[in-house]
This record gives sequence, structure tokens and C-alpha cells, in this order.
Amino acid sequence: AEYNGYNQQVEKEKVNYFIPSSLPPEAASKVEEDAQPRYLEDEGFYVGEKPIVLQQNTNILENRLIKHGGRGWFGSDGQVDSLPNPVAEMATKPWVDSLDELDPCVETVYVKAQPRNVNLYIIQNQVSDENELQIDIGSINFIHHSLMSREHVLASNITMMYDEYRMIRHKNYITFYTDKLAALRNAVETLKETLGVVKYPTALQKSRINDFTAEIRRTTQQLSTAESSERDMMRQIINEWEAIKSLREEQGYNNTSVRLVVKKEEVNYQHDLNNWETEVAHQVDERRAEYDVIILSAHQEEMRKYQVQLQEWKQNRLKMKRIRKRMQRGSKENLLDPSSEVAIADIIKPDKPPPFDDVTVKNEVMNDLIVNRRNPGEARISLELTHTTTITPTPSVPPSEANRRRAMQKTSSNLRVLFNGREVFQTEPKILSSDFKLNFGSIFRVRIAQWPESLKVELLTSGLVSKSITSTFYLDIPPTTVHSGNVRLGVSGFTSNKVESHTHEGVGSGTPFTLRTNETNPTSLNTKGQLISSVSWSLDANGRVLAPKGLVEREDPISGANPLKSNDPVIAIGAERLQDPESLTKWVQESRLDPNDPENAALVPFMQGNKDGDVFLTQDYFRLEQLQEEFNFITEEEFSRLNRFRLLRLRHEEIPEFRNISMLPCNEHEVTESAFTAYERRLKEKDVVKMERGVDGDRIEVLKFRQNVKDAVLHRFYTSRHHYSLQDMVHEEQVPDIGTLGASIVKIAEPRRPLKPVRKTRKKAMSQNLTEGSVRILVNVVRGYNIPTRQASHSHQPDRRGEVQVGGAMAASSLRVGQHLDPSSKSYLVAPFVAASFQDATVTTSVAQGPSPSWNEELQLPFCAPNSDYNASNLQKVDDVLFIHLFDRVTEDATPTNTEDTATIITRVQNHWLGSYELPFSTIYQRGKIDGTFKIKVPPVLLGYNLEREIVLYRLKLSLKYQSSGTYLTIFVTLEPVLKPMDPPKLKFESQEDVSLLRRCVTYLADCNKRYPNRNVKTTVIDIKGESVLITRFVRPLPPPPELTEATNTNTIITLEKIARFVSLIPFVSDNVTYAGICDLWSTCDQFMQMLCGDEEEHAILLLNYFLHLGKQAYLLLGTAVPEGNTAYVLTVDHNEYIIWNASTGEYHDKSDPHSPLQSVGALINDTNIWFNVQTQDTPMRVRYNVTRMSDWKAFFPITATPLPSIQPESLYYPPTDQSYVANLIDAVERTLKDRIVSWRPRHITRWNRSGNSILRQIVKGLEERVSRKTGVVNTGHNEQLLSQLGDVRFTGYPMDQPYTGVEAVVSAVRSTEVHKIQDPDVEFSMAVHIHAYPASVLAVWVYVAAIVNRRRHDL
Amino acid sequence: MSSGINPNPSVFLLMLNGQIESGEFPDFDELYCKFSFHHGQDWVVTSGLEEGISQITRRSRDERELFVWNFPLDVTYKSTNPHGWPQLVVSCYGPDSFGRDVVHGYGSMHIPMVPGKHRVKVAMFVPVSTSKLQQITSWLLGRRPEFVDPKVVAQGEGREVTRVRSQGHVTVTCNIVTRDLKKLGYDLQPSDVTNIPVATMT
Repeated sequence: AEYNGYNQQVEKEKVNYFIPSSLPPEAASKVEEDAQPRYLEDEGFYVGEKPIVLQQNTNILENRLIKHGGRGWFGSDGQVDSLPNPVAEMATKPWVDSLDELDPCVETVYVKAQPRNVNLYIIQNQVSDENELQIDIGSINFIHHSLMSREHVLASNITMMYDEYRMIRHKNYITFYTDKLAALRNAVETLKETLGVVKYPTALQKSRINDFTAEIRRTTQQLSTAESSERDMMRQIINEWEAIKSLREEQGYNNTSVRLVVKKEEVNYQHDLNNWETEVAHQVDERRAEYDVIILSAHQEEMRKYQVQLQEWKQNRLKMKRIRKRMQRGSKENLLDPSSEVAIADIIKPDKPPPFDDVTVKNEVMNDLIVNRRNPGEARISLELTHTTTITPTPSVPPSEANRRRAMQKTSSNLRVLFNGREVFQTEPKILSSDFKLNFGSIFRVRIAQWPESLKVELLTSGLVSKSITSTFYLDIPPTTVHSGNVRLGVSGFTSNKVESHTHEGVGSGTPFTLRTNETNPTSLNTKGQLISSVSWSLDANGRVLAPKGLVEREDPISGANPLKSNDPVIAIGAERLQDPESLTKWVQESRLDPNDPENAALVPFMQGNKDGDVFLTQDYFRLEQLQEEFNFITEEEFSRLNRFRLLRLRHEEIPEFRNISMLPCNEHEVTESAFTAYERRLKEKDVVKMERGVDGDRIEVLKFRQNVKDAVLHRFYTSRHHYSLQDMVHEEQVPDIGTLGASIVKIAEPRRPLKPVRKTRKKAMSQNLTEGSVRILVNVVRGYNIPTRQASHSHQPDRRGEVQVGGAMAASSLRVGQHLDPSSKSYLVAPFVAASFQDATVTTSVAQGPSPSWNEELQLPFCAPNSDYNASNLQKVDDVLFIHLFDRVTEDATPTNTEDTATIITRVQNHWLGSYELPFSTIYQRGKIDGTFKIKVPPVLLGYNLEREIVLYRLKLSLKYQSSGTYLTIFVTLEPVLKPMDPPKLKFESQEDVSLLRRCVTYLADCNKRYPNRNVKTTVIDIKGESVLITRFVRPLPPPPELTEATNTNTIITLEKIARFVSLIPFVSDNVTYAGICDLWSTCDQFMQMLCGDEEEHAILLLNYFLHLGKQAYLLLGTAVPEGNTAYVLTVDHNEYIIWNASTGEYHDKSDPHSPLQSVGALINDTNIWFNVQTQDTPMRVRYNVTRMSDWKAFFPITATPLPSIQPESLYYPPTDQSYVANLIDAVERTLKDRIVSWRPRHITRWNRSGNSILRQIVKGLEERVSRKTGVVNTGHNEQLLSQLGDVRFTGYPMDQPYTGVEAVVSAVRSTEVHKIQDPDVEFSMAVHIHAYPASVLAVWVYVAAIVNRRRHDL
Repeated sequence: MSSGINPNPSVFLLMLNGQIESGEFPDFDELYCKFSFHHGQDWVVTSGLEEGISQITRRSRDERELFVWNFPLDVTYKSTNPHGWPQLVVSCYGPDSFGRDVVHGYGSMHIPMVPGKHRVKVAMFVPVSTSKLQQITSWLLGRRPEFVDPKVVAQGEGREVTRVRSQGHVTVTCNIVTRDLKKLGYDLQPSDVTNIPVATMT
């Protein structure tokens, strides 16, 4: 090989390579020599719209074609010749993706070659012989032909004009308008006559006359136009005829048979004149009438106005004069007050309109008539074009003309029809007749197997040697409705761009010639003609249309078979946005659409719209997605009516009732109406709740607000739930860093400890394997502490009075509990047992003995998920509560004492409720297991029991002593099998915090979690709008309601207790339940007060803010507690006294209280900083609370900066609670409770002890005061005093208090005490309800229920 | 007694029996596969195994280099709604060059709707590591990225966040029998073949 330099290489390449330029080629090189590119579109031909090809690519293609001498590729317009739409609609070759598994449909099969009969017109087709096109070729009329002589050209012109003239004549506008005019005038006459009788015409009649005159005016105008245009037309024809005549004379021979006959109809001059004069008179009259109406009446109106104004002015002036006179006497200053002068210039007397000038108008009318109408005496002319002139025979014409005629005779033409680009037949060649017509008159049938795409017709002119294509054009593929039975011959125009010039008389084509001798500008005409033909589908013997079936559905703009077009032309062009036909018409006319474009055929009516003066109007309906209907599965109406579709749709929308329906019935009739009842009831209840609460506007507002918030949050959640991150989809190991590597190495080196048991995690059950009844709640009741004991029994002591004195404050002597106890049973003080109830099922432990019993029993409760849906998202929403009740079993002798049968002892067992503990299912579900010692909620007054036992076990500060007292149960609760709690959704919420701050949050959290992964710490939380907010922004001192702080010293523990009580009375609703486990939302205090519900953190934040306002040193404490799990408490620091407040219950504990529910301390937060507990110990007892110690607490902000702006409001507004509403509510609750208690005892008579009621009512009113003060010793002294009035009664009852959430909550609380279960036939009930109203609709409900057995009666 | 043909059925049945025949996975020596069916809410398996795991097979020692399992599939579905038509999800696992069990591909196919015998080639793919470093560590530690749930390959949701690489093919043959589909108005046969206008001209 030899090395060539680069330049040499380039040189060589230049020789061998052709790189087509991407610049546009010269126009001249694309068309025939010495011809100019034509622009068919400008000449009024339809060219179609070509697909968009990059201009650069077109240029390259054209350059390449030119290079290879392919001039023939270009059309006359200099563009590459192509079909109107060269894009094939179907792929010619199906896509094959793998060679070894070839679809048999497209497999290549060897077929033996067959000789093909090319003469056959009929397309052979084995597949189907059904489709047959019938093409009727009639004749061709040339409008212009290169062999035409000048006379022929003129004759062709005159023929066209005459055709038009005949059309107008046929429509006979003149007679029509004349008759109309006459009729109108008649009508006016009669109307006027009737009016003449009636003196004062009504407005209606007047307006009718006016209408008629207007109409007459219009018709007159139209008549004039019509007549003048007809006269113009005639004039033109006659001119043309004159030209022909002069040409014939000039050349001395006739070439055409055209002859114009002008027929004159003689008329009666006098009659005409009369008519004419009447017409003039009429018109003058009408104009005068018009003048009267339009100008005179307007003038009169103006005059009237002028008069009025003038009058006013005059009056004004008089007044002014009088004033002026008075003024002259007084001060002179006011004399020249210009404002008082009314400018007379404003009042202009309207000009009188020029009078109606009869003479001028008459002259005008006459002139008009002379110009536009047939004048009197003028003959009526009608034209007739005949073909009677003899054509001069060839021998007697000059040689040039003879040559032309000879050439004509030699020229024969035929048509070739191509179907889908393939020739199907040719007509016989025909010779041009002397009037340039080709008569074929032949019908061809084409059987087609291919999809009809195009039907092309080529006009071939056979010259001396060979045939040449003069012109090509396309015929339409008819729609299937057009068949040979109903088809009509149609006209399709064609043109040729061939340049021809002749030496003989023929004027040629595309070359200039002078048509008339006196003309200076030469004319140039192209060969032009019309084919009269028809295309239709054949009919078979049975009259069936032999058209392909799918043709109707095809959307093919060229074939015109688009079914839409036949229905609605406007839709077909895609202009569905034009709903107004008028504006459409306007648009069509303005946009100058090509009328020859078949696409626009539908709009042609709009183009001609205004010709006849009437607007073309389509149907006046509104179109909106009119195609949608065709895509609809079924109609919308049916869709909503059919239950099956309704079910499917509701399931798709994830409506809870339907979400887990499987095997939805297949047939409509299998879907029962009952499927919807639950759902519909829920919808109805939603409304009912609102109705019920209708008493109170606040509550409705709150409900609405909560619903809105919930909807917004759920919406946000559902949209974000469908956004997956890579971690949700792909499980991928993180790249290990040094720390984890080191840890794993250390692990290897660790000594093995085979004796140390390793906790095995229980296998978590998958939701799909769960069925009804397979899930149970296990409650392991271990032991109880400090259970209230019965008070000493006094049954056998006859002197009850003395007992009262002895009893004192603490011993409720008049209460007779546990009477008739056996001597053996006296040895214990209480017989407690535990009952766990969940979802209507209750199980109990065995009865133990003594105030510190040990049961160690496992209770099993069945759990059924709503709708049997054990999906995590559904279980999250379960808001059932596990109740753990502590009862005392009292056995009493029911045998009447005076019976003689001493062998039979009947005892009655009664369960006395001592207290209860509630555990929401969501907590169990989230935490998996609940393990610990919990304080039982015991009513403050437990009649017949000693609540207080000497608690001197712990050396506590005196003020906290009573808090640590109480009854405790050690229980362990779990689910069997363990359900997998829903993974907390990792949601990226928007935030308005600073980006660097957010980044710091992430690193801080990561750092904290790495050191102590189990400690609860938060930096940002999600507010109610769904945005992340830094937690410190929630902290801001806020004033509590003034009622709570006044009267007492703000710094005493009593005030704090009061505030805590107030906060705890705001109902507690877990976010898990409300927001279905989506996220933990933090609301600000004003939102919290408005919603009146929240969970731990809302309560804690509110309490913290109140405490801060009181000047306390307080922190928000994030930690874990039983049973809540991760929770928020409030820590107050006061002289080394650390008190932990549970804001949602109002209880407080010293940090060293062993029964404190708080288990670990994770972080402390105030308005300036977050401190994470980095001490090794996290139990509240052992934690050092000095946050300034860096080694104990890790601060979020290294330097305590100024607090960030808070999102809390500056102060809270506490609307006073409506007292009348509270009174109504008390009534309602009491009534409901009484009804319910009666209904719970269906087999017993329920009597109400009225005096008991009133006593209890008095007691209950004072309870709130005492509890909120937490004085510790519940003084029941005066109870006894009041109860003594009832006499000797046995009394069982409890006061209960709870935040008001609804009547049902109160009812269920009462029911859980089982007071109603007392079987004693003599029992009477007493009940009192009190609602203590705090500001802002925070209500504490107190219910005191008691069962009273009148001992005296019993004894008698 | 009736012959068991219900003139007005309320469910239709779909029966599949066939086998996971073989797989083509270059660069591996031993493979086993797991399969499971994924179906919509209105479908119930009346008989057959919904999930299964095959034996470990070795690559054939010929030029085809096939992994032949011939693992039978036999499942019958009952359904009321064609929505959620069952899909077969196949995932292949096998030891890598260090002998650790790693995933070698996930793939899914709809059970063919038309009765008859079908042979389906299921393309198998695995998610790829997010970075080169992770790729190396996953290779070293034998913890390749895996889908959290193999059934995600039968769903469209969330796929946009994953990047996968193709691994090979699994060939599944199945015979389909349906019952009562047409009676319930679901026509699964192709419409009359002869009436389709064929775009050929002779």
C-alpha cells in the first residue's frame, strides 16, 4: 500500500464520491427546459397536504435525483412527484422479532411460478370474489386543448358562459322577486286600508307596516341586482358572440358550430310605460314612507327633547333673575357666580331635515330603473346557443387550418385506469371530435382483492409514434352506500401541464397566443377538461353490495369514505371546537379554503352560505367530545345503574367497605342490593351525625374542620403512596463503612455464650393467610397491687345509728356491702377478678383473694378485622378498644332470713366494678406486645370500698404521695399470631425550612439513631398542612384560660393541676386511627383547640406552652411509655424537683416514681433547642436532667441561639361555652342513659329512686371541683350525710368522669361498670349527670350511677 | 342428575397445565427457579399449587447449554372477572462463582388467554446496582440487589425507579383449557379469520 497525503485523498474522493448538497437545488433544473414552475395551488387546483419531511433531506434527495438526470421525478411545480399522500397506511412487511419462531401468517412459502394473463381486466383473486368496483367512463370534454383553434377557444368560453346564463335563467329570479314585490305591496295596501278605518293604529300594526316596507325595499334591491346581473351576463355573451363572428369573418371559415340566437319578444310599449310609471310612483312612495319613518320621526323626537330643554332653561333663567334681584339688594358678591349660569350653548336647536324632495327622488328612482331594469318598450331578450352553424369543410380552409384539422384527426386518446397503482384496464382509443369531446361510453368491472386505496386515471394521447400521458387524476373510491343501482355520473376535472405549441392554427397549450385581434396581452391556457364518469360498487344477483366490509370504518380522506363526513361535516375536518355555525361560516370564508380539496368538501355549503342572502345554519347543538360516545363501553346512565359496575367502581376507589371484595359476581343479577346497605348506611349516618349535633354550631364547625383536614391529608397520602423509591422496590445492601466492618469483626471475636438465651422473634403472619377467627388477642393478667378493699361489714349490728357516728369521714357506715358474709369469707377484704372485653366478647380470670392478688392467667379474645380484611392498612384503622375491668365478686346470701329451710342456702353473686383500663387495639397492633404494670382508672369515689391504703413504701415527697397511690395491674398483651404492622411510610414532605437546617436535621437524627437507636427523638414533624416543620417552632408560651389561673396563686401545684386537668379533658384521638397510620400529624395549639381532639403530642405541647406562660421551667419530653410507646410528656423542673406530666391523662409523677408510665427519656425540647439523651441510662429515675452538660445531652444547635419564629399563634382565643347548650346536653345524656339502662335490663323492672337522684345530683356537681384540685383525700363525708336521708339502703355506685366526645362514649362507659346487672328484685337506680363546662367547649362529663337496695324493706 | 354443565354459569374456569421447561442463562452452571402466580381480586385458585420451587439443575453439556427443569405447573383458577388475569412470575436463583445463592433473573408472563398449547419464552432480568462501588461490594459479599417482592415484576407500579439488566430466557409451555368464558360473554377466540382483509394482491 502506498501512502497518499490527505489532500490527495480528498482530491481522489472528489472524483469518485458524490456528496449531494443539502442546499436547495435550482428550480430551473427540476422542470422542463424553458418552462416555469407552475403553482397548481394558485391556479385553483387541489394539491393535497404532503407529509412533513425535513427540508434538508428533501434537498439532498432532489440533488441526488438531478445528479442522475432524473428530471422525470419532478412534477410541474418543481416538487418531487408523488401521491397526494405518499405515506402507506399499512406496513408492507410485518415485524418479525425472532427467526426461529416465525408466525405462520407471515412465513415465506414457495409457490410455483404461474404464467399470468396480462390481458385480464379482472384481478384474479382467490381470497374473495366479493368486492367488485364498477367504473363507468362516459366522456371527456376538453375545455381547452392544444389543438383548439382560436375560434374553438372562444366557443368554449361562450359555451361556459351560456351554461351559467341558463342556470340563472332556470332559477328565474326576476319573476320570483317581481311576484314577491307585488304580493308585498298588496299586503301593505290592505293593511293601510284597514288602518284607515281605525283612526289610531296600534304600535303593532305600525311596526308591521314598517316591517313590510323594509321587506319591500330589500326585495326591490334584490330585483334590481338580479335583473342587472342577468343583463350583464347577456351583454357578455353577446360580446363573446360578436368576437366569434368577427373572427369567423376575419379568417373566412367556420370552425365551430356555435351560433347564438337572440330572441326578442315584442312588448306593448304603452303597457310597459304604465307599469314603469307605477313602479316609479311606488318606489317614490316607498321612499317617502321611509323618509317619514326614519328621518322625520327622528327629527320630531329631537325637537321634542329640544323643547323640553328649552323650557327648563327658561325656567332656570327666570329663577336666576329673581335671585339676582334679591342679591342686588343684599351682597354683590354672589352676582357673578358663573356656576349658576346655565350654558345656553348646550341646548342646540336641531336642524330641520331637508324636506322630502319629490323631484330628485323621482329622478334617482328613474335613473336606477333605466340602468338596472328593462326599459319600457325595450324588447325582452332571451338567448339561445345552438350548434347549427355549418363548419366549413376542410378543402375550403387555409392550409394552416387544414393542418390543424388533420392533426386532430390523427390524435387519438384513451384512458388507462390504475387501481392501487396497477393498471386494471384501458379504454379503446378514441379520436377527438370536432367539438373536442371523447366519447367512451364503456363500463368496466374491477374485482379487487386489495384494499382500495387509490383509483388513478391517466389520459393517454397517442401521438405519431408513441403514447404519452397528457394528464393524470384520481377518482374517488365510493363509500359502500354507492352501488351501481344508485350511482350518478359525476364530473371530475383534470388539467395537463404539458407544453405544446403547433405550427398550424392550433393555439397550443401552455404557450402564449393572442385570442382576439384587438388584444395586446397574449393569453396562455393549459389543456383542461372534464371527465364524466362514475365509480360504484357492483350489486350481485341478490342486490347485495359487493363492497369490502371494513370500508365504512376506514378513515380515508381521499376516498371520501369517512363515515363521519356523511354525518357531520364539521367533525370530520376536526374543527369540533367551532360550535357556532355562524362563526364557522365566517371562518370558512375568511380562511379561503381550497374548495377543490376533498378534505374541505364538507365545508363547501358554508362557503356558498351567504350567496342567496340566507345564512347556512347547521344544527344548533353543542359539541363536546362528541366522539367519546363511540368509545364508551356502555352509556353513562347504564353504568351508574348497573350494580355490578357500581361495585367495581367502588372497589376501585378503595372505599373501605368494598376494598376487599373478591370474586365479585359476574352477572348483574347476582349482585344483591344488600351489598350496598352498609355503605349507604354509613353515608347516611355521616349526615345524621351532623344533624344530631345541629344544636351546637361549634361542634359542626369542628367536625367539618376535622373532615377537611383528614381529606386533605389522605389525598396527599394516596398520591404520594404511588410514588416509589428505589428502596421500596429493590433490596440492596449498603456499602459497608469502617464502623460496620469493625463491628462485624468484633462480633467474630466475641466469646460464645451458649448459656445466654437469645430472644427469638416470633414469625409474623402474612395478611393473606389470615382468616376469620385465626387472630386472637392474648391478655396475660399477672397480678394486681393495691386493690381497693371492702369496708368493714356491719350487717349484724343492729344499731345502725351508732354505726354512723363511729364510721367517721372515711368509713361509709351506711353502706352495706358484703353483708351476710360467711365467717370464713371475712378473712379477706376483696375478691377481685379481671375481665377483658373486646369486640363484644368478654373473658374473665378466676377470682383471686386479697388486695394484692396474683392471677397469672392467660385470657384469649377473638379478633375479627372489619370486612375480614387483614391488610395492614385496614388493621391500622381498627379503633376498637380492649377494656380490662377489675371487679370484686361479692357473694351474698339471697335466702330470705325467715324461711325455715335452712338446708338450702341461696347466694347471689354480684360483681362490683372497681376500675378499668383501656388499651386501644391500634396500640397493641403497632407495638406488637404491651408489657408492664399499669395504673387502673378507679373512680374517685367508690362507695363501700377503701381506696386509700397506707402507702409508705416509697419515700416520696408529700405532695406527690397521692399520685403514686392507686391500683395497679401487671399485664401482658399481645396478638397471636403477630400481625405485621404497616411499615411507616417514608414520605418526603415538603418543607419551608431552610435547606441547610433540614440537612442538619438528617445528620443529627442519623447520629442519634446510631448511638441509641431505641431512643425517641424527633427534629422535624409534619404539621397539619403536610409540611415538615422544626419541632421547636411548636413551643411558645401561651396563656391558659383565665378562669383556671385566677383566684389561686399561679405558681402552686394546684394551678398546674387545674391546667393539666383542663388539657386532659380535650378528647384523645390517636393519629393512628384518624389518619390510618399514615403519619403522625402535629397540630398547633389553636388548631388543637379548634378540633378538640389530638393525641399525646398535641396535649403535651399545649400543656408545655401553658406551663411556660406561667414562668415554669418546662420541657417537652420525648420518650417511650407504656402503653403508648413513643410518646411526648412534659417535664417541669422546680428546685431539683422533676415532675413528669402525662398531658393526655392529666396525671403527674415524680421522676423517681416507680409506677410512672414513662419508661425511657429520649430527648428534651424547648423553644430554643433539642437535646438528645446520650447518657447510658434512660429510665427517668436515673437520667440527669441538666441539659447544659454536654456529656449528657447532645444539643441540636451547638450554641443556644434565639428561638426560631414559632408557628403557634400569639394567644389562644377561648370562646365561652354556651351554658344553655350544656344544660340541654346534660338532659340529653341523662335521658339516653336512663333509656339505655332500662333496655339493658329487659327481664327486670327498672325503678328509679327519685330522692336518690336528687342527692346524687348535688354530689356530682361538686366532684369536678374536687378532682381538679386533686386534694387527694376524696372527702365523701357529706355523701354519707345525704345518704342517711335515704334511710337504710344498700348502695352500689360510682361517679365517673370523662372528656365529652359524644353521648355514645358516656353510655358505653356506664355499661362497662355493669351496675345494671344487679339482679336483686328490689333494686332501685339513681343517676345524676353533670357536665362541667370549661371555656372553648371543653366539657367534663360526670355520671354518678348508683343501685340502691332498700335494706329495710328487705329485712321486713 | 345434571351432567355438570350449567347453562347459566356465574364463574368461568381457567386451567393451566404445563411446565417450566428450560432456561438459557449464559455464564451460570447451576440454577433453580421459583414460580408463583399473581392474580387479581376476582380470581381464586381452585386447585393446584400457587407457588413452587424447583430442583437445582446443571447446564447441559452440549452446544445448547440449556438448564432443563421440566418443572410441572398445574393450576386451576376460578374467576368472575377477566380483570387481573393471572400471571406467572418466575425467578431464578443459583450459586455464583463463590458458591453463594444469588438471584439470576426475574420474569413474568400472563397465562395465555386462548385455549390450546402455548410455548412462551419469558425474558429474565435482574435489578442492577446503583453504583459501581455497590456493584463491587455486592459481588464481593454475594448480596446482589433483589426485588423486595418478586411479584413486582407482574405489576407496573413503581417500576420506573428500577434499572434492570437482562439475564436470559426461560421457556414455559402450557396447555390452556377454559370453561364458560364464552357463556359469560368473553370471546377469546380471534374473530373470524377468513374475514380479515389480507393486504396481499395476487
